[in-house]
Amino acid sequence: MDELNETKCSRVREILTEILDDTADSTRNNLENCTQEVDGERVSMHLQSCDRCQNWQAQTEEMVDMARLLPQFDVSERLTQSILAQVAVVESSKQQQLSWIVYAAAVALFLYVMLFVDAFESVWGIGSWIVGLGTMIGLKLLIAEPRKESQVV
Amino acid sequence: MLGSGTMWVKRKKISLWTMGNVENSKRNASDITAIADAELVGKTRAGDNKAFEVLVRRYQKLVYNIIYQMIRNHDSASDLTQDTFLKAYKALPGFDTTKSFKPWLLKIATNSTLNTIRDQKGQQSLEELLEVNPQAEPASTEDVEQEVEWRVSQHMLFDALGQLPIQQRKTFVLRYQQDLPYEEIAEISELSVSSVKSLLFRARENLRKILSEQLAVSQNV
Repeated sequence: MDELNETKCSRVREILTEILDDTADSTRNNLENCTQEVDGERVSMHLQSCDRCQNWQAQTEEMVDMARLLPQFDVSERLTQSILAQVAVVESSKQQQLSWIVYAAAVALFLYVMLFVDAFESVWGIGSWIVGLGTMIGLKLLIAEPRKESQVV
Repeated sequence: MLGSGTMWVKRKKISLWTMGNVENSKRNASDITAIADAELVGKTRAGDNKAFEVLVRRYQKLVYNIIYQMIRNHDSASDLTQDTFLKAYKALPGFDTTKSFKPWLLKIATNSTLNTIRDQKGQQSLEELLEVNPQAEPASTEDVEQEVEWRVSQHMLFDALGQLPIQQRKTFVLRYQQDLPYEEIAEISELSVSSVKSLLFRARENLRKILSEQLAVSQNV
């Protein structure tokens, strides 16, 4: 008989647990309503006659209610600023890496032209060098601009 | 007299212009905070760090509190919160935009915390740390539960939570303190929904036992 009761109790608690988890944000009244809906009057009848399950339900509900009231700590502005500063450092190092790649490519191109191409033979050659230099300065400015923006953040 | 009048008009114009700018910036700030995570992620990936700042401000409290409940130390929680956002920022280019940002971020936070706890515990393996905690499995307290009057305080629950195995504690906090749905907890923990339910069940039963024992002791003293 005891064994039969134990089985009933554990089954009722299983159902109550499911209801509690599915309605974690609802009130005790909702829980009672759900109890009626899910397993009809069987669970309610068992609860009326079983002190242990009544206790179990009350304790579990109180514990879950209390968990929702556990204090939540606010985050200080200092921590926020620290996170954003670290992000800015990462961004800046990314930009630096990119600018090094551009510099390396420019130097490689310069050496190639100097060693293998007769670029200074005519006025057009010198003109093309000036255009090339202008492009490099433009690229440099383009890279520097987002870096400044990221430092502001 | 005329000069001072002109000055006043100019000042008025300037102050109106400044007010307009402040209003605009306020409107911009409120506009950007209303933007969905996915859009902010997209903007951050395109180089807009203001968008990432909004994400940081949106989730830093949640991340901090989850980490704090896991590690129970404010300094470590601050360090790990910072570490979480930095890792997220670096990993953002590889983030799958079809998925939600919040569970992804919380996965980074909880995994970093678990790794730190494992490092702190030294030789203890993560599996041991997650499941074996002698304090979390007290002797059967069925009889105690009947006799003890249940008046649980926040302080008692906080202490009892600290005695749970870390995985159970994390799941309990995510579900009941932070009110996250099962699906999100499953995604964060890389578990199935049924495993999450089973972890929650164990967490609640263990907590009830620990609390009953604590209440019995305090009522006997």
